[in-house]
Amino acid sequence: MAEHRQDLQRELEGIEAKVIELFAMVAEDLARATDALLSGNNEVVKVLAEREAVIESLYPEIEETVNRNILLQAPVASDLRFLLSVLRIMPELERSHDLVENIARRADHILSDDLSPRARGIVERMGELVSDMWRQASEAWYQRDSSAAALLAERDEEMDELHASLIAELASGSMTLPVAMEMTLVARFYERLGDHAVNVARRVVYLAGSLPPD
Amino acid sequence: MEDSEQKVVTNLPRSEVAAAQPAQSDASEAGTEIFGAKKVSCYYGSFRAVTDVSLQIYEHEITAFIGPSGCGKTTVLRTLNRMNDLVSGAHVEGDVEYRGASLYGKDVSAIAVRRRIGMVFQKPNPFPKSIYDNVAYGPRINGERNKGKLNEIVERSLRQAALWDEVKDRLNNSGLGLSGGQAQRLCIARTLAVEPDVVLMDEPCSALDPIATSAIEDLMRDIKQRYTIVIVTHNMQQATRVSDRTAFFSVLRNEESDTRTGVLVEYGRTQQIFEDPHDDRTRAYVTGRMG
Repeated sequence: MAEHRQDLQRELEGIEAKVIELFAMVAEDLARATDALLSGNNEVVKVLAEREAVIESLYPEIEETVNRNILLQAPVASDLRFLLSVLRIMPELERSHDLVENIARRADHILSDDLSPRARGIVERMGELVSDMWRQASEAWYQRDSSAAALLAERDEEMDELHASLIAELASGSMTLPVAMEMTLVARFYERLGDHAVNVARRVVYLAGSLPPD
Repeated sequence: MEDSEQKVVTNLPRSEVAAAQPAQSDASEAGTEIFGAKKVSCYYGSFRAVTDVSLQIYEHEITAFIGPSGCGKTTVLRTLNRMNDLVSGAHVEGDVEYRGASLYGKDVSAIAVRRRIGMVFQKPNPFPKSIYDNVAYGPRINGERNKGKLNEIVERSLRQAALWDEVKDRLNNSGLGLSGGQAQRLCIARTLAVEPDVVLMDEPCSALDPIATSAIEDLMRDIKQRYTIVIVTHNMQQATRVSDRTAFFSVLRNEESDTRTGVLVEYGRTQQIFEDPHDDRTRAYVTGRMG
């Protein structure tokens, strides 16, 4: 059976490739940001700023292509669900990369020696967990796997516990006040990154629909 | 003939009776079942055009039949008012119930059926008569002679078909002088004049421009409060715009015997069919991927 509408198909594949690129940037840069924070390596900040420029140009490009295809191609079923889902997750991806950048920027202000060993351990654990969550969310999107939503919601609870532990540690007075203030923000950034990963996985439920993937 | 017609009128529950029942206020719930097709197969001679179609059609809803050419959607539509009886060699297996009574029962007159279940065709086909006489045609055949009553019916039907304002000053002009969209609305008015229970529409807009198409679609939405509508359309956007439910038909090929037959693939709420079809063949068709 011949596949028709190959122009539309190519456009959709082009959009998907760019979305995957955005996912990859969030997941990869997240690991780098944690590493920068803990090692005090502020070189990463420059790299991430360059990435931000790429995202800033990708974002309107994807949005414009989605708008055009909704307008001109009258998409329905899986095509429409895909285009609507892209519009819905793009702000999550953009916002998430901003948060990653914000974490990395703290490498400038905080020396790793400023952190208590316990705080350092929790941050390390938060970084690993949220990187993992984002890998799962990316994979769920790519595979159109709606089961990831429940899984990620569970992991997010773990994230919330780590967040609470870090806040408790910061409140214990084991670090200087300026460091504690900065780290409160960092804790919040990680926690938000977890929430965004959950949101993306939830969007996949609509995207996946009830048909098994092609 | 006269006898069997009388019989069917008493056999088939009257729409007025059903109209007196409580209205279904919740549009998401299925209302009164108007048609129940049960394992319907249609043959033209030995050619089986449609195989094993079962579906229900509900009161005051617009049901759309979509599918590629040759999938049997028009054939199934025509089983709903026994139009296939007019094709020699055609026969139907299985059964179609209309308001709970078999349409194909021994005592049922096809002519009486068609009075209750009107049809609008792809190509507007006004009679070569005046606009007035086109609409008054059915009521006159049904024995209406009262001029005042006829005037009333003609005006009401033309208003329901959203044509009154355009033709009220030239009711005695020929129906053949109307534009395509007006002629189609005249045919709809002619169908409504006999106060049918159901209106079947076989691609009613395929010969019309977008403005005339919009006018017919608006009119379908207006009249569905009073009638039940089944429409065959090749225009999927039209199905999404007007219909409550959509049935997707497709062609099943038998490679061994080199034969093809129409089958009902999926039937559901229109939003579900176009947003999240459950069958891969439906998805391939509505997204335009099927070759």
